[in-house]
Amino acid sequence: MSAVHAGALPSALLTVERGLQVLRAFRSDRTPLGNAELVRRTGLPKATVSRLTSTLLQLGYLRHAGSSREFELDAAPLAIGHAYVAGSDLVRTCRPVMQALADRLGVSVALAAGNGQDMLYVAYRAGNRVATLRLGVGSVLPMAPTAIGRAWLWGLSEGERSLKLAALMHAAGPRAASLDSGIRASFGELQGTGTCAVLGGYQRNAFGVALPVRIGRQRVVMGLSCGRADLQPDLAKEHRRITPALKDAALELEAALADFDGQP
Amino acid sequence: MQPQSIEVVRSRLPVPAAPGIALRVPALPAERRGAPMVAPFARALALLGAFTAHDRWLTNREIAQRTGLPPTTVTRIAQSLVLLGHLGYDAALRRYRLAAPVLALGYGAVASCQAHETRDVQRTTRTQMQAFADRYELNVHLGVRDRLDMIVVEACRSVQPTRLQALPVGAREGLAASSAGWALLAALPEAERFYLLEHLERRAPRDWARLRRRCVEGIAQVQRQGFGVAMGEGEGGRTMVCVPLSIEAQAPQVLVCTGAALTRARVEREIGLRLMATADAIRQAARPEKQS
Repeated sequence: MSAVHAGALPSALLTVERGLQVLRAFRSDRTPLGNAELVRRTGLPKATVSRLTSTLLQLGYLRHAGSSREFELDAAPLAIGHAYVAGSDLVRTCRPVMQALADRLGVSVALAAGNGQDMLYVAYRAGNRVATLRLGVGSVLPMAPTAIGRAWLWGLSEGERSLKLAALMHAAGPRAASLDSGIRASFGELQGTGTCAVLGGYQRNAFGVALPVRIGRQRVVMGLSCGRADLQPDLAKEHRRITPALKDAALELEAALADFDGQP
Repeated sequence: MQPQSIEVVRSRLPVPAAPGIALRVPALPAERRGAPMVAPFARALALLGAFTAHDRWLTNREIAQRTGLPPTTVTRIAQSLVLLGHLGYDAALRRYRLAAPVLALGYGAVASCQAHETRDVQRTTRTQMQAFADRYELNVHLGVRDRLDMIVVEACRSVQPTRLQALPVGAREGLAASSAGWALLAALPEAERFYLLEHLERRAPRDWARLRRRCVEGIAQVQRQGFGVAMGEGEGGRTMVCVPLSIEAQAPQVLVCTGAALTRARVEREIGLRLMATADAIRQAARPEKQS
């Protein structure tokens, strides 16, 4: 990577990277953000952010939220995401396996890729008893506090994992210690049962049970999780109920995608 | 990495020229033309936007045709996007495909609000809604839940001029305070309904007792007869008829028709049942789509 950074057009590459960073700062969320918040989230200079948001505004990626000076996501990302979802062999192949698992357990099922310090939902199916309280394809969840993020970390090689953990802890600041003990506990569960369960890692009252899967010829690590929002879920019971079916589905998914080549 | 100044140009992107391809770069509103654009970034977005739902792979030349950019420029930008993980590259066949990180550019937010997984379902839904609007001379709209509100995502107006304005796309009503909200709550599994009601209570504790009673009555009505009715008050008041529309593997929606001169008898004998039939037709039409 560094070779190309040094060779072909480093300034244009940097510009594109920063532009995409601004768009990503919205975290697939509909909350409007102003330039100041975008500066805080991206760490980019104010003038840079305002030129990038101006570009995004003109091209239909962002729009003004009501009459305010803040921005919210507009429709253009929908078209690109739709093109990916419709054209992806990976998404098409994993759908039936995930839907069967979702229906069988009455949960929603997500397949996610690591994406910076987040997990990105690449495929998502909801069971027929789950209707409205759900995320979806394109959702961005924080890696460190969620079951799917911890399962993904567990799937990495030891070297990659410690690098990633160091970056996550650095970003967590004062919350690092409690986050670290939570992550260690999940790693313990993954070692013992092959899956980990977390309650309230992202949404209050929602739980996730997850494990790492290795996809395709390049054995790319992704996270597979089952989750649901309940008023008072019994986490230990759900963990026991979900684990065997989730492990079966993971094997089935890996087999179905054995010939898939490249990154998700 | 040293921070570098970003190249800013005062120009528009080249206009994509391929015939028959939906252009992703929207025409700029007049007052924004000439506003500064970060050119390399705008070109990178044009490249990503060149892919449609019908393309798995695109070659350099195809991208150049669709974006109107020179092939050498396309190669350079595509290389950057491959490095940044947003495009995949097939070296043997020299072609590109989109990669999963493009989903983090905002698809989650927009997709969940649109509540339509495929454009075909969206088109069918719209056709059915318009047919209903024309036949019964009523306004029809489609609502989905957005947090604790219902939001209109599709609206069809009757061809006959009516005295009532149709609710526009983007209009919001409280989940607990609208008949569309009650119809949505009625269609949910019990655990999810309680979960949402708990959140609604937290937001509106003061008049919650009254609101909750109306809400529970509204839910019961939908569960009993399949549709909910809110009669307009006074002459020319807006009467609403609401039917839940659940399409498998999509967020639940509510089909609503509104009119001014609707009598209760007409709603109960005709309109409610017709609206339920329309919801059924949309559900049926959406089914084969799911197999793909």
